[in-house]
Amino acid sequence: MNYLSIILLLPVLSFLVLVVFGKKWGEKSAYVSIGAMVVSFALSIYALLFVMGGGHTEITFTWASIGSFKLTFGLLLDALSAMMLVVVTIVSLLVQIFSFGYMHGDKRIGWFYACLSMFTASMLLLVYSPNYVQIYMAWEGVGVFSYLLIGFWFEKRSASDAAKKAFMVTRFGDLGFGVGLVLLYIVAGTLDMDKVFAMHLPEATAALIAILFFCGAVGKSAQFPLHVWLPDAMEGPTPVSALIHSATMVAAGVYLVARSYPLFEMGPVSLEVVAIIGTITAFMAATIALTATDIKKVLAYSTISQLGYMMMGLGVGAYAAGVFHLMTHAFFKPLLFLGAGSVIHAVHSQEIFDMGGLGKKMKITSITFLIGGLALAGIPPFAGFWSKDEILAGAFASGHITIFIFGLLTVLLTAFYTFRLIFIVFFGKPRGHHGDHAHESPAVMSMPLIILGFFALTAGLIGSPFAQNAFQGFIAHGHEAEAPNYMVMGASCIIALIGIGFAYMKYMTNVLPSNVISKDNFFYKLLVNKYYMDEFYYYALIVPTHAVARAALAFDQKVVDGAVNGVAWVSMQFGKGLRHIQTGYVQNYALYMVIGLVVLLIWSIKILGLF
Amino acid sequence: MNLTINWSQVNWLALTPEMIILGFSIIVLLGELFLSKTSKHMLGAVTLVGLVASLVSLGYIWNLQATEFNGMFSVDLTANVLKAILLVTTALVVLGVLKVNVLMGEGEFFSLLLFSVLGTMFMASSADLIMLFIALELTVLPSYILTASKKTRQSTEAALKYFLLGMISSVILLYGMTLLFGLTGETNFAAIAGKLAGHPIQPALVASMLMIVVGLGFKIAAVPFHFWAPDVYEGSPIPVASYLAAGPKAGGFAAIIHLFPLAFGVVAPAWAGVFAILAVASMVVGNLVALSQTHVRRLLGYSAVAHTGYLLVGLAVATKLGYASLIFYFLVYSLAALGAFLVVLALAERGFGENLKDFAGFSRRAPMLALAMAIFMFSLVGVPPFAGFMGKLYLFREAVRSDLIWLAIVGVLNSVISFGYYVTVIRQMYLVSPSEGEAVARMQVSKPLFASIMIIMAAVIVLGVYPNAFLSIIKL
Amino acid sequence: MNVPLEWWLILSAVLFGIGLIGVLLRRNAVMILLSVELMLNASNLNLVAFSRYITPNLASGQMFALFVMAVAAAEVAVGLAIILSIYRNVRSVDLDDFNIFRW
Repeated sequence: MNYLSIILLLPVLSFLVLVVFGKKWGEKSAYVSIGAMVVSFALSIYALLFVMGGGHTEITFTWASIGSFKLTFGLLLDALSAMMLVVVTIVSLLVQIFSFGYMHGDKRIGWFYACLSMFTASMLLLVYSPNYVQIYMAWEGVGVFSYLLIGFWFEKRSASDAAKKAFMVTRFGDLGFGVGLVLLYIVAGTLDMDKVFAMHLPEATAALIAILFFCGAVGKSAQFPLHVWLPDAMEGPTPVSALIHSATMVAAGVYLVARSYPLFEMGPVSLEVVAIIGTITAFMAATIALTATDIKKVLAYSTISQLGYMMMGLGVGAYAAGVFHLMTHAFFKPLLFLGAGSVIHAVHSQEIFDMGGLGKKMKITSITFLIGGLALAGIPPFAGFWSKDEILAGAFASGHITIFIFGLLTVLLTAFYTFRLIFIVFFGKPRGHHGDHAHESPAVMSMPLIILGFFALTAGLIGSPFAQNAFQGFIAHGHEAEAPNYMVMGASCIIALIGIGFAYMKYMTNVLPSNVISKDNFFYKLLVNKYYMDEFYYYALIVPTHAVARAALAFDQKVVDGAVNGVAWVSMQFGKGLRHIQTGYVQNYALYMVIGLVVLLIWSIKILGLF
Repeated sequence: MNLTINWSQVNWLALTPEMIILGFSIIVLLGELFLSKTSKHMLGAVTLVGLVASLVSLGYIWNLQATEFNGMFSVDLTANVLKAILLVTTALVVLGVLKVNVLMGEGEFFSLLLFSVLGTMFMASSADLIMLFIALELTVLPSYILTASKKTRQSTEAALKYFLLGMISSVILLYGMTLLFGLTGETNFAAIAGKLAGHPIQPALVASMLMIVVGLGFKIAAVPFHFWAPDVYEGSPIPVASYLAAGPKAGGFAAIIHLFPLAFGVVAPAWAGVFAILAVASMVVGNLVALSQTHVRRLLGYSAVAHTGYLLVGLAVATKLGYASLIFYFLVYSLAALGAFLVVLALAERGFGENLKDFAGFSRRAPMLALAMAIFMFSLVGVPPFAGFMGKLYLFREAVRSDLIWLAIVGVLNSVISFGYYVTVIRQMYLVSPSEGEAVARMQVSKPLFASIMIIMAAVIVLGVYPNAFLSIIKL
Repeated sequence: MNVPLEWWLILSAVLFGIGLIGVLLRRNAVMILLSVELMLNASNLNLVAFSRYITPNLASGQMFALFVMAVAAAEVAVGLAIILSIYRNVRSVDLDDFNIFRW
């Protein structure tokens, strides 16, 4: 047996064992799951080294055949999948270790670990896929386990509702994906990726199929307008949010687009769609994040926004940058989520205005959270800076100026809301009494934070100009990395700092901190006068933002939710009407049968041209 | 038709599975007469032995191609596979109800069951109109009695509706057969085809074809001939409903696959189109109406109608691979449906109701059964990696290959709609707590019933994960 | 005996039609059973007539008719038993009273 299949089979095995013995073993279940994940992670590292040494593996075996039709199941190891293997296994491993502390005392912890294992297995299966059928299957698999994990605390009605909503909304996108698959099969006659990519499909057809695939990605990766499920999905346990709803499953949509990139390139219109949707998502989610007061919701909207960035990068042709951001995000966002989990664990509340001054009580959490925040805000040399900057440079270089400007605006918003969160939660004075007994979480929870913090600090460097963009060269042979654009870098860096400055002034002080923005005269003047500043905040930022946020929220609730519910409602109404043909009177049935016979008779005679 | 049969030349080997079932049904019936009350409970086990023995003998003649009794009875792989599916599902029903009160004499119940199985097997092998008609009647007559066997108002009312509609459809079928006989002077499928070839199509032939569609469409519960199905699935005793949901449709499909391409080859575009229409109607009506059902067995009844719709796609395609996909999906569907009915039976045995709300908290009462039920539901929706997904994949793929893309799209859309009601069952089991704050105690399930459900669950998973295991046996 | 085949067929079709109308319009379960019997006999008439005119040397149509009679007898037995059984529950054989399964 190949070591690649062992990476996949270990979590499956762990799932099967825990389904049977999970209840009996209780918290000991974690050892099985974590043990399996350690081995998988080690083997993934080996696989990555193998690929870095120029290796490439593809294993297939026939899984079902009927007539000439063969379904194959395969393991494809190339640069993209090797990177994803490592990312998925390490985040899963760290989250599982963290959960050992976080879920301590939960009665159904065995089932929790079983689900985490099987989720990881499905995700690995997706990453490995050399054909679209397998991707689709794994795609549904991660959906199912995401459903189960969001609804893990199903006693809470909101949790079970959120689980259902997540499943339904993503399936809405999957519908497009499914139709795209059927269409691709009709056009290409195969669903093996290498064969499809080697073809020359007509541009319009390729674009249509690519856009249909993108529908699936929009659902899974919570892009506008199907992003509505992700904030609700925060009802799940926080480690689940960290693993599934920040690092892995929601990145699956981005991964699908990256995987199918040759197909998207065959129909370039589709890439424009990807870029536009990505930009709308990034900007819109960032504005909503400004007003959220639930720590996990802020992070959820920021995840949506960052996923938007990835799509934007892929859409403007900066393939490597998009994938690079996927990778760095997969380190700093789980870090933020786990940090949030640690905070929630300590204060037993998710409202940021219940918190405050936690920095002194929770040193490790606050420092690692700060690192994550800096990475998210895009401050060099933290991970997020390098990848986000690449995307912006890509947008600039490819002439998407509007997208570039919105990208920069989003940088400002991102920095602001991130540090709003950090200042309120970790600095200042405690609000209320929730934080009275807060203390640092146990080592089993803080260790993963430190490791993720390390990666959030360093992971970006492998793709930075200092390392000659090593990552980009590795991941995308055909796609040359952009030459470093120092103007863009400088601009985004400054804008991020301005955002942090605003946050500082708003939430930390009443006096003007002149040293922060002294270089920029325009903002300097704006901010000298505190009254003037408040007005500015109020009218220029808060009011429009609130309006946008409110409008976005209303759009979510009225239009998007409405459309999804509407389809269900219409089906239901049709069903309710249709059921009345079953009147209960047997002679009506006989009559329907006779009418059916007559109708079919007329139709058949017409078809055969007998009269 | 030559009425003299040279008995010495009959290859009895081809009939062994049927003969074994016949023998056992008589044994079981005699057992009911002569055994003491206390020892009658053995009869279930005897029936099980008979079914397994028949299955083994079927395996022995798996690849046999034979036509016996002057062309009335023919054996081929299609017939054998469908008979095997029938025998396996019926054996699982019998296993499941071994420790369950079947509400009538065990001997009566099991012998009627075996007679119905026998009729279905003959239906699958019939190559002659006379044979087909008698086999069909042999299949449905015991079913009427079994449906009525609970003797309550629900049971008898369902039986009466089943019976009346069944008779009407049978007599329409028969009239169609007489027309076909009149047009050709033959009753044998192949001989009819020979007589019809090369002649212009007469309207009477179309009428005859459609009348036969009514009769067989009733058997497989296709809209608009489906009205009996929800009532019977809801009203009949649960063991009977389980049996009806799974096996007997095999006969209807086998008869269609044998009769239509052969005898009605000249009007193929018409019946392929008719099956496509029936497929869409069944899918749409079944799924939409199921959305608003609250009684689980009635819901499964409408789901069965919807699945008949999916299966009809294979007939509308009208190619060898289409039929093969139909057979695979039939197996997949009947396993999942049977499993769901047996889970309902397990609940009812402990005094729970059969409404959706009675499933609340089921995951805590019986975690394994709830898991199995969830898997059956997922399989019925067609969620990978369960068997239903592979089945639908094959069916819709054949539709696409035969330029019936629109039909495949309707099928996929319907699968999405069907998710709405199947997930309600899962939601009830896993996410809803029982209302009146009642204590949730572990539910006891009789061992054979539990075993039967577990076997089905394993099969649904295996067929989904590695369908080649089955596909290579049936050589598709 | 110079009755042409068409006459028999018309008679059979008329019988079948009367039966069908009976099935659709009568409310009494027993009457419906009888109507179905009428339709069965229409089929038998068809079979015998075809056998006589189209395949005079073979007996397969007549054989078919014999089998149909046997089946019809069995059906009536089962049907009357079911009607009796529901009568015990509802004290009626009027189909309009049997309406607990709906929608």
